[in-house]
Amino acid sequence: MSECLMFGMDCEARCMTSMTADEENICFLVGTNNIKNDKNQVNKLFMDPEASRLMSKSFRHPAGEVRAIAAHPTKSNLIATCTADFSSLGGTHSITVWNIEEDKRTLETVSRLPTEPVMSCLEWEPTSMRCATLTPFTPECLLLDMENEPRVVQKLKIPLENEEDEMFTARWSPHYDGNMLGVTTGKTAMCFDCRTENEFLKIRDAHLNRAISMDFNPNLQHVIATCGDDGYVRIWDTRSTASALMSLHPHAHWVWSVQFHPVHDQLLLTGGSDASVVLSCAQSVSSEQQKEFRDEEEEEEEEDLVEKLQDGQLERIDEHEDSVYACAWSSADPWTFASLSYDGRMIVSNVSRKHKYALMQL
Amino acid sequence: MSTFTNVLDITKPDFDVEAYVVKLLREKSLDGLVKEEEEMVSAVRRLDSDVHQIVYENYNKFLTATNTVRKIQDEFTQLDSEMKSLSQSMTTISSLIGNLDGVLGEKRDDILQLGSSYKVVNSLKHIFDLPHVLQSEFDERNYGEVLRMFKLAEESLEQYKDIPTVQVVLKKSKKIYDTTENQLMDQLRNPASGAELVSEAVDLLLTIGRDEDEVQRVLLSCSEQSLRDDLNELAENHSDVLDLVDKASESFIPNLTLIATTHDRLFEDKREELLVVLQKEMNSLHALVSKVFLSSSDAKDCSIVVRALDRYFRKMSTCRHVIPGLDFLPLTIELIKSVSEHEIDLSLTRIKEELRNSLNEVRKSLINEEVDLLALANRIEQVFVHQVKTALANLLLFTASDVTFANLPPDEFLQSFASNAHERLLVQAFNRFTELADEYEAGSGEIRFVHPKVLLVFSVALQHLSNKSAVYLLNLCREQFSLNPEEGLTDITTVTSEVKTRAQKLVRCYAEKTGFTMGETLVKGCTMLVQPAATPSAVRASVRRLVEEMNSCDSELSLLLGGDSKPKDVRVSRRPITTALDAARDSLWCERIDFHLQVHFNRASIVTAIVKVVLKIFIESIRLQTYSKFGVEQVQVDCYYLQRCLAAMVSDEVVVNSMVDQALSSALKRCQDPVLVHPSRLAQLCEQPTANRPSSQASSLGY
Repeated sequence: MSECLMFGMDCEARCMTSMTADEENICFLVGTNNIKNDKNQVNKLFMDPEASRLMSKSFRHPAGEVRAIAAHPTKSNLIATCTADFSSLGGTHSITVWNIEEDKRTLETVSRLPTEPVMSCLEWEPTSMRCATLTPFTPECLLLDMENEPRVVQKLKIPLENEEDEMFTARWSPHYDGNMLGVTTGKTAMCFDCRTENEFLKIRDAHLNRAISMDFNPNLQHVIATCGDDGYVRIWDTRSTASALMSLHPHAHWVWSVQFHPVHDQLLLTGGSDASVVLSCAQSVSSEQQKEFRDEEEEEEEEDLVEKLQDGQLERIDEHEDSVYACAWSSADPWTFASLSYDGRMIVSNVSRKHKYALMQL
Repeated sequence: MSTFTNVLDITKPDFDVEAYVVKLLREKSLDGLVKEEEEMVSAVRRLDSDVHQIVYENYNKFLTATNTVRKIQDEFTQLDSEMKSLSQSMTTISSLIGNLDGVLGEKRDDILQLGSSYKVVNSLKHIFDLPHVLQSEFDERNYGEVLRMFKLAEESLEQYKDIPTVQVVLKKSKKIYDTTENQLMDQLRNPASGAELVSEAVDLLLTIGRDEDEVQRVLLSCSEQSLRDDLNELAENHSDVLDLVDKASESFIPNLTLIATTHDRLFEDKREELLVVLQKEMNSLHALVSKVFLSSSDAKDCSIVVRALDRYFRKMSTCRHVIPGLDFLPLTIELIKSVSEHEIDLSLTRIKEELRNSLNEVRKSLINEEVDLLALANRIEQVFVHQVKTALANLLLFTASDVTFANLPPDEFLQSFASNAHERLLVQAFNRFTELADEYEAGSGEIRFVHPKVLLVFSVALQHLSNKSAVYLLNLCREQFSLNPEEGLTDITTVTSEVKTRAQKLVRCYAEKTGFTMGETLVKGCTMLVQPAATPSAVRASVRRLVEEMNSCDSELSLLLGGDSKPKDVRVSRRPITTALDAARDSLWCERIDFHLQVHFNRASIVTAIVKVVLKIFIESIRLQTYSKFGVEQVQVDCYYLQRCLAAMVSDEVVVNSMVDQALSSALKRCQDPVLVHPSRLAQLCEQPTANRPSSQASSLGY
């Protein structure tokens, strides 16, 4: 186990994101999830200069629970949250853009879009500056223009496999110039082209009862990963979806989040409700493997020298005590990742040196 | 009396006229006498005419006889004169002969010379006949005779070759001779002509002084061609490998040895060249045989393959003795090795296929509700054991005592074969089995839809295998192939632990999958009644159903794995949470639930794993809700019920307690102003049978 840094918040939390705009410092944003209004906050977690401790700056979140959080792709002071305030009857819900006032330790409302249901997912796309959001029991995905203030520009109808299917996650594909949106609902994972609203891909029965989340391979356009309530992570080739390319079983309970490493796409970070975070390797279906196929003739001798990573689990972090609902790679350091459990414990860890060297083929 | 009658019979010489007349007179009447007289007169007249006739006839005869006698007399006188002249001639002849003898005595030498001249003429005639004789001999294919006669004739005729006629004869004969020679060369070249003809031709050609090198070259190239034809024939016409080897030992190999012996006898000093050719042809044969051997695709044909191998091996080893220098034995042993490995691979594929089939059967039979899981597990195990045993038995054929190559020195074949049987077949068979388990564990294709019980059955089969049959099989193999454990064999424990790991993984998979399925129905049922309008009156139906399902699962497991059938009814009385503060405090003491603990092969351990998964799903679903006051109360009632019913089933009830507490505290956290039911009411509510309460359907998110 590589060393990991831990920070405990005194409030339940479900959502966390990496601060994408800040490419210098390792920084994560956490939104808490407490039904008592006054307790909710957004925490900014970062490393101290010696990188020996995890520091936190907390900002009170005045609009109630944070159901989802997204950081502005380029401006490090802007964030957006899906809020849920239960103080009044029936509750008030919104998508709000906040300005982080570092000095005053407060969040200042930039703009606010009230929503009828509570939105549960917020994904900010960097090229088109649009956000995708959805709510579990409405079969549509809202696309918001975030340029000035959140404004619904498109309602993407999602054809459900089953009427009772719940909507879980929306994810933007890093390919196709921000026009490809992945959505998981029920047992199905789907992809849509936003320009034509056409269904690009549909994987039925990806998981036992729920396909909770998905992610796109940053290097291979046709590879996606899904995770579900059966404890499996499945990697699919979008061109043939009858059978998974690879089926990993990192968790003993629901897998809530799966994240490809932004560069080394053989690394998969998953967090699950068995209170563990797992770093898995899918070397044989990664872009590295394909490169090897190409170079095989020329570099046959060389290949034996470099010890390759085996498919399967590389590291497991058991330091959490409750379900892990979010995990993320740092946008500043490719070897750092964070995970957040329900009890408010945040853990920042590094890929161990051994695996790092194997990946870089040193 | 007779004298009396004679006297009276007129025709007799003793006739007495007197007596007769007396008698007549005495006896006859007058009329009778008259009549007698008349009769007598006519008879006399008749007689008279008869005598006349006879006289005339005989007179003529007499006259002719007199004439004849006169003629005879005349001839006798003539004969007499001729006899006289003959005797005269005879005397003349004898005197003449006496004279001749004297004349001839002087001419004898001349006669002798005449005789010998005649002979010379005859033999000359022979010489002129020579071409014809040769031709007829040639026609009768007595080429040896032709050559011999020509040689003979040529020698003797050489001195007379100035004579034109002899020249013509010689020319003609030479022509026949040349045709004969060509014919012989043809015979040599023609692969169809038998070895005897070939060797005869070679002999003859050599005796008449053809160039030895040329003859040998022709012989070699022709042999090569004929062998090649045999090969082509073999390559095209064979039904299976045994047939191929049989045909090869009927045509190619005898042919080969024949060529070799012929060649050896004729050109002993040119062995090298022969060997090159033979080597090449044998290589092609070997390649062909190897190809056919290695293309057999059914493990059932093993006995045929072994028989064919044995035959081939024998042929090759005899070949080695018959044709020194042509040693294909090492190559054959190599072939045997690779064929045995090929057979091993076939068996492996078969084993895996059979396992897959039997697993599919299990899947099918699990569609029915009432099935004996233990029997299914045993069947999978039996299939594996049976298949492995069959494969081992097949391999034993290679070592049977009547198989020649089994008697080679052990380091040439048996040793490596035996270790292959262990490593390549047996250990690999286990590997295939575990690979299959991995496939079921990973479930990337349609296997992800299998019923969880398939996984359970599979894992139990693996567990049984690792406990007993694996050791048995490994020992059986070591015994059958007399292997020594010190010879770098895979350790028994390595194999069994591999199998055990897979059994573990699969049973964990089973527990998770079952848990997920049960939890899902529980959660689905709970979301229907998430926001009750009034204080709860009973445990929710889906919670009760879960407990029932757990019970049936529990009894099924105890049936399968043995052990205590009904959970012990010991219950530690536990203080239920009554306030939100209690909940918060208790959650501090909650110990971390480890989902990665080893699942043991007993009822309690598996049930614990299932319960953990189910309760965690319960917790997760609670955390996604927002509850009203009554909603929390309902969760509290359900939790109390769950704790009471499930704690007894699991191996460590602390787990259930702590998870149930977590569920309740999660619900409390999702409520604005939680109030808890008094503990005394809890027990009471749980005793009540499920009442049909008015279903107050709320929005599933709970607000």
